[in-house]
Amino acid sequence: MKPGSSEEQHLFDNPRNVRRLLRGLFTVCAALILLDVINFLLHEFTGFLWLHREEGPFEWLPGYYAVYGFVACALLVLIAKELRKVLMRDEDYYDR
Amino acid sequence: MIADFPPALIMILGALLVPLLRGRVRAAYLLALPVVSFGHLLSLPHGESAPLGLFGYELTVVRIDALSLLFGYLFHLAALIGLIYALRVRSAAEQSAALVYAGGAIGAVFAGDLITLFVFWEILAVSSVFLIWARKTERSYRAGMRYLIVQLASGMILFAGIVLNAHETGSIAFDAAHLGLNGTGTLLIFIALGIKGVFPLLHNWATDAYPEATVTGAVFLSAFTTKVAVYALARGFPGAEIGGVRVLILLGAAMAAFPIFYAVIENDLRRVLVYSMINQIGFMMVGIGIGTELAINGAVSHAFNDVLFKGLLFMSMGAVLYRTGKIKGSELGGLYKSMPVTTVLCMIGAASISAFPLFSGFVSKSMVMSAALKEGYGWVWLVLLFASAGVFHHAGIKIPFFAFFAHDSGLRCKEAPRNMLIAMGIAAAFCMFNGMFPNALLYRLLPYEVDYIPYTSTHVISQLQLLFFSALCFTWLKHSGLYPPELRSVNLDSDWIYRRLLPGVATVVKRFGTGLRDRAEGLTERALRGALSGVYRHHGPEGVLARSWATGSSVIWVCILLLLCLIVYYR
Repeated sequence: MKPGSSEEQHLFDNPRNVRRLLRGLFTVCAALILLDVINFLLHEFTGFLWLHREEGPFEWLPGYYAVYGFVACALLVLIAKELRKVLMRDEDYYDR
Repeated sequence: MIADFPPALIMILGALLVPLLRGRVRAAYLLALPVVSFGHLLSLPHGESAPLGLFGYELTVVRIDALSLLFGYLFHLAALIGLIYALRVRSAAEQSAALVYAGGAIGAVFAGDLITLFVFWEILAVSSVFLIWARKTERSYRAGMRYLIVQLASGMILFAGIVLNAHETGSIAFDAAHLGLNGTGTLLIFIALGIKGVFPLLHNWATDAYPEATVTGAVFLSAFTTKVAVYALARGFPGAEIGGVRVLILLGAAMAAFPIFYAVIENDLRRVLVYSMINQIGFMMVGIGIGTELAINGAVSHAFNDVLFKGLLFMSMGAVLYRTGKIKGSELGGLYKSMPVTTVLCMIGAASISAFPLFSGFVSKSMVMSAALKEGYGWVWLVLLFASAGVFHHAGIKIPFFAFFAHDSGLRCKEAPRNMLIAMGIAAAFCMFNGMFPNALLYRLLPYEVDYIPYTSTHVISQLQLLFFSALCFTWLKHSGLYPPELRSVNLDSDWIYRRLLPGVATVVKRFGTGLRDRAEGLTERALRGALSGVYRHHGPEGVLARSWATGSSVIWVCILLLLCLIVYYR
């Protein structure tokens, strides 16, 4: 919001709400990892196979999807950022 | 006779009346057309109808089976949603063009032979360009021109392929049994479909032209052309092979993976959506390339969902452009305050394209990935998994984040107009309905029996892990300042070849040619001048051969000649 304007406060103008959102995200991530741990322990100690991950390459590794998602995104963004050095031109490049 | 009437013609002929109507009557008429057309479609019997003789070939203007019906229903729905969204458009030309365009797409999917397909292929090309030109700017005019040239080139290649194929095999049949990559003709047809189907390096007409279209035009464009190509490839080239390699799998994997890098650094949010559209079509191409029943089901159900969620995303970005006049990520932000309903609807589209559980992408995208694993394409599965994480990143997070959240741009505007909200609402409802109850509608429409259960705990948990850790990564990158900022820029893509390289080459060739011509001219001129001055020297007024001789010298020469004769003949 522009300083000095008399507008009402919106949801994310309050930094506390942003923190809440982030805390929610971290909690969900932790819970999802916990599910993988439970799956792993179940299989180790009881032999019960809860999550069926036997088809994809490396899929059986505990935490596979979480790591893949994180690393894929990091690579995607960092490589794209480097690509800018080669690909990026001024906005009016084609108009000149 | 009614039973023989091609459903496509209702909207195409109906478009002719649009300029004559005004106000509410026109609005009612526009909305009635797709409904009437849909009713007519429901009344048509399965099988082939509307035969027509042409140049000794038997054309089948209408072929109705499960595959064509799914796309037929989809295009009617997309046309209706698009027309509701575009109700406020004043220009009768733009609305007529949209109707003809939708009708062309419907005609193409019901085409029972290649010649009919070609006719509707050209109608698609010519009608759609008006949705770009309707923006009435110099930029859109040029972009539309480039678009039209590419589309017409696709039509010409298709026609050449049809003629060659008919010459080689004597058939104009449009089905997998008669097509497949086995000759020059079919290869040309494949390439023509590939141009509209945004194959790698043939894709750039879409990223170039779609973002230059009008607010409403881009919504129609995103629905039809590429999906007609997906249909045509699914119809004619499922599992097509060259030398034992299923080419569409390779092309699809490339399409799923490469455009997302561009999507991350692109500033124009509608262009980001086009890149993500190519990425989604990549999934469909992989499905068609694998060619098994599960894979084809996955490909076409994903096409169905994609038209709806991509349409929804285009509509929400269109609403932003309509209200603020801006569409660049670098100029937007904080709009959730002004457009809360649009924000929520956009996020439903974002969740659907990202394949969140309970949203439509979840029940269709995974079919293709599952089919890839079943057929032993582990590496393709890895690429698609990467693309899934990537699509969440750029379409699921980037689009809503930079438009509606991020830093507050200070822009304050009204919520989107009611007709736009209704159109987006219908699309969002379908996204959620298909995601929650895939068996109720979507899976029933598929061409093959569905033996696939999307909602298993394995699938749900794995997908959530993939998505939430992608979100975590985005948060980390944004927080640490590693995330590339939105910058005013253009990024070079393959359109550079025909917008810069070829004109550059042409300039160089022209300069070289002019130089050569000048040299040749100089040389010829010098030679001619030399020859002329020689002639002049000998034959000119002072020339040796033009002099008049004195009588005395003539007598001497005659004497000498006679003397020579005497000596020669003297024996």
